[in-house]
Amino acid sequence: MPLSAASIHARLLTAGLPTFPRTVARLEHLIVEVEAPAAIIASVIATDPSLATLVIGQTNAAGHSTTQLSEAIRRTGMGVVLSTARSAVPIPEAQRSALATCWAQANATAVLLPMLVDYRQHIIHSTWDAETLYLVGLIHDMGHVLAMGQFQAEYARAAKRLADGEQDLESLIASELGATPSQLVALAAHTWHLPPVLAIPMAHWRKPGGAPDLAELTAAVHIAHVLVHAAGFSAAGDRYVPIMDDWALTKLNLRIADCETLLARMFDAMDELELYEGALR
Amino acid sequence: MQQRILVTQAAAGMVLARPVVLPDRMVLVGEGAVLSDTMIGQLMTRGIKRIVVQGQPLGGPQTADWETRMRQLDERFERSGRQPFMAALREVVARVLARRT
Repeated sequence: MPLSAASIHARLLTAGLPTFPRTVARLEHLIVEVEAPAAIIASVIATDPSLATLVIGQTNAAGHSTTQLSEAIRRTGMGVVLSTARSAVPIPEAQRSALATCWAQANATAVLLPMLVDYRQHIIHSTWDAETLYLVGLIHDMGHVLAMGQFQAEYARAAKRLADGEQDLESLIASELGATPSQLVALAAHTWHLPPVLAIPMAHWRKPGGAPDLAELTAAVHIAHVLVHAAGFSAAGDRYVPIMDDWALTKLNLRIADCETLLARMFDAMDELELYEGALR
Repeated sequence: MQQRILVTQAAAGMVLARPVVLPDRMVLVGEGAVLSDTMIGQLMTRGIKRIVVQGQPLGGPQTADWETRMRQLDERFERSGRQPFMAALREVVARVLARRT
């Protein structure tokens, strides 16, 4: 039986976001023992959608309006960053493999989204910097993370129904839980104090035509997600590539040849990351 | 089989399938090196975010043999592959993966 709206809201308010204990331990090491610079700390947090959400939310809640992790860390200070990381909930052993796939998908989307926005610059007229776009891509599917992490039994039943032949994980989660991942994240984004450029695509990327604002960016997030999933980055129970939204394709005037170009560039960029990220010394 | 993972997900005992190379092309840690906690900490301190390790210690896209990758591709498109754009996208992904093999 689906949960009531009050139960869902209560669980969202009281449960923390899941993260890998190893990431928190390494942040402790980098901040306390090595006294690593903010750029290094930002690069570690920028691999973790939950920690990135918490840190950027904490910074905005404190009145520092920013969508960049590096700036957020400079403004809030290492102590706050560390205590925020410690407040995240360690992912139970049984869920680590599944959530690792969500993290991989989030990171790949984060790599692709700035490339896609740049590729369609003449249509999107982006005013967002690459670091902000990376963050939009990284945290875009926190609704899925919330459903998996905080409503485990309902999510498991929905994933099983999907595997048994029923269609559409989003609808199955709604049927089991009483809310879609998009609805979960729309509720949570308010409590996380996320600015609209992060909150709107997060809540509307699955049906980008319904976004109240930032239509082109939300369409780009939808397209980036579908391409990344198609390329092999499936997340946990979400096994099947969703159908690309016609409205989003038309909005960005994207054709199949463009998708091939973008996917090739994404894989090249991910290879190159191993090189240039070594420059962050 | 090998897998690209985040350094934050690396664990002592994993074996590097590709060297970690710095921007000046200097090899920081060579292929075949067995990771230790100290080494992982040093990689993080240098800002390395991703490494490629042997095996498939985590879920996610696999660097499996070609037949397995094509079977996984077909499975991913099982529900959407009849739609014309998605059928074309499946072919695009197969071509991109083939060029990288």
